[in-house]
Amino acid sequence: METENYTCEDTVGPYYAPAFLDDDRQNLTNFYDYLVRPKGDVIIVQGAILDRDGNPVKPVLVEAWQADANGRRRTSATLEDADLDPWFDGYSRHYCDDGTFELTTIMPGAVPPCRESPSARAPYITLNLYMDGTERLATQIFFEGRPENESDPLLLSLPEPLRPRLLARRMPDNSDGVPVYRIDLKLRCADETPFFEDRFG
Amino acid sequence: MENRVLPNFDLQFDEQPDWRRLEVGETDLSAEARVPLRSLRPIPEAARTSFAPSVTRLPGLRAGENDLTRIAPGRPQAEGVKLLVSGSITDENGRPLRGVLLEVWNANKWGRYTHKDDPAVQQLDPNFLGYGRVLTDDDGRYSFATIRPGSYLVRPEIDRWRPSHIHLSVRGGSSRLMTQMYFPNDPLLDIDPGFQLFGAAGARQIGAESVSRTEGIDTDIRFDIVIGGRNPTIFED
Repeated sequence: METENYTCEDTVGPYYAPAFLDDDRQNLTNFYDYLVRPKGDVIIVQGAILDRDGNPVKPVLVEAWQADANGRRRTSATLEDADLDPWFDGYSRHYCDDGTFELTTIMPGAVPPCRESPSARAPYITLNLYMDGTERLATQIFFEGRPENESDPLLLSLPEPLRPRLLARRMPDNSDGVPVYRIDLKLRCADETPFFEDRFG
Repeated sequence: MENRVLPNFDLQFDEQPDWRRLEVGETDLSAEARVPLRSLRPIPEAARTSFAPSVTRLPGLRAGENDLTRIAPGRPQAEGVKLLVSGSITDENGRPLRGVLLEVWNANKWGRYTHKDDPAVQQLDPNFLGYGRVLTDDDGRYSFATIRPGSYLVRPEIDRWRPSHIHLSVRGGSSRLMTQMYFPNDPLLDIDPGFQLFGAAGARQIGAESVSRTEGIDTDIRFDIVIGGRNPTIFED
């Protein structure tokens, strides 16, 4: 512990600027309004972020990242990979000031074993939540009914009763026929969402 | 400090004593309603990289975005002590992190943010927005100018003030850090519930002040940022 020298994480507080979001997108299927589109099926992932008393937490800065439809994730190490979808950035951040989040994206592919992921993974979206009163909270969500969930190493690391808390449920399509998945993220309560220690050292 | 009661039904789960549990600072009302009850769960090796962000695209910045003492280049300076905050952003091994985005925000001289949700009644400064950005250079260095933020009363009913602080967010590649910089010899640090949770590590969160020789600046502050702990850089190796 004596050798730790890193800057400590602190709460974002309530006054982060929405203007900092710039062109960071809540819609990952729309590449700067060009006509090109990423491969894969468009979906909407939505939910609420709820506190101890079931009240919406607001504001929350939500950052999300995921693989493309082939299960490939864009990182500095994969930028030149031929099977990386050039029209899918896979990184989203948005500022939720009503306690709900909604991301328009493509259904992430199951991840084959590769340099960035040594084991196969079920389709997932990583979420980081920043809100007043706590440091960053990190978790991952999965899609109800996907057979790959049965062998995903992260889901399997959870006691069985906790696993459904990370599954987004399929809801009726929206009025444009886009599949909608919903998951509520619950804080400090009996059926609290599992969060993960992303300290790597 | 242990103010949590874990319901009995949790005992059926596998929580281990060495897992980190996020703490709630004393009288921190926001935290009391939000901080997870359960410890943070370990990530299996096979899923580790999926928890690291990867930001391969950052916004282009306009000139003057790192000068918070003015709302635009050539405009008058805001009221208060002018600070030039500078330092390096490195990983835990001292390697500079180049081209990462530092976002900065702080209250004005009187302790009020321009954010729409700030309920404070202190005056606004027409020359102060309080939000700015800068990218690190090829040596991982940054600097920005701002106004020394005032302290502000966050819990009037118990007369609790927040110490002066500057919010900082670092993002780029797999680097990610949300933090705050505090000021030396601020007596309010002793009663800030968030700061107290840092323990001895709180010393890393305090900038080093010196008299400035830069025109238009009163005080230089050195604040080096080290990305590590739960914020490593992993794709750049």
